[in-house]
Amino acid sequence: MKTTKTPQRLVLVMFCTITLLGASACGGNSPSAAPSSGTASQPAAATPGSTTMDPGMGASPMASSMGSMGSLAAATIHIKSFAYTGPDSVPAGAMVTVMNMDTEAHTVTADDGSFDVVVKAGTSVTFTAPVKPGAYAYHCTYHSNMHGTLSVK
Amino acid sequence: MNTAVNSGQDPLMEPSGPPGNHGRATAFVLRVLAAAALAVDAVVHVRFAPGYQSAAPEGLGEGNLFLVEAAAAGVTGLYVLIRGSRPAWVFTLIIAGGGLAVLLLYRYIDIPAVGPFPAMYEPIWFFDKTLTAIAQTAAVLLAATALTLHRPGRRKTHHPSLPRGRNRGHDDK
Repeated sequence: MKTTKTPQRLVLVMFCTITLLGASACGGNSPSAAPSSGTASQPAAATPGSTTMDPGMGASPMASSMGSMGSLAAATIHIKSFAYTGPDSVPAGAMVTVMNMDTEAHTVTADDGSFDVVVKAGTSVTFTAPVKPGAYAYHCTYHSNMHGTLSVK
Repeated sequence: MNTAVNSGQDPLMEPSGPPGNHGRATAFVLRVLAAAALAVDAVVHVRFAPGYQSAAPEGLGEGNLFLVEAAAAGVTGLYVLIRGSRPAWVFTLIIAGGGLAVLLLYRYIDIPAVGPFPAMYEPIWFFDKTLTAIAQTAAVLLAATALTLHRPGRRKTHHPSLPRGRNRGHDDK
């Protein structure tokens, strides 16, 4: 009896260990997963934390539409009250962080398709600015009244 | 004494003679304007529904709520255009007034997600939103006007759209 149960117990112990590891891993990701399921109710918690973490944002799982990881963000576009505010210009190929301080998701979508990122409520994402200098008009595909321009030098 | 009152034509019902032509025209104008206002309400909500659904998909989703408002406005617009009865005007008042209340609520108050309703706070005005608010306001005012003209005490002649019992004296003849 015992000899036959030992392998089963071993399997059971291994299963429990894997389950616990998996659960803890999921727990670690839960803050980043939360915005996708309930961003509307916790934007305030995400906004302050992300204001000073532009470099770190590159490694954060929150930024689902990353450009190149680990690069310093050269500029930040803020979205607040359904309006964009950002730098007058950014260097070509620079990392641009977009911070959404609204309770709804937005996008930063270039009219010519050069870049397109979705920013959930209370989160930040980073994308790479075009390498070709010029003025890139962008908009929010969800809210057609939102427009902005990114000047690349 | 009540002859003058009793013989007055209700603008919102089918007239029985020349004095009613003015009332008929008034009723027709009110109905067309209300239907047009509700059509604007419906079209704008349908146009914006896909984007807002993506922006706030939690719960029922904002876009789906927009579609509900659009459907209600569309059906009510047709109802008031075709019938012009008191229930039709009451529905117009409820749908347009309710839509306007929700629009203003989420324009000025940051309400978090509640149950199946996502957070829909949008503290701005833009053309289509303003247009919708104006259309809804117009529909509310038109409905209020029609219901005032259409109030039970004014009606003394039979009309098929009247609720039962209101023409009892007339029907008992």
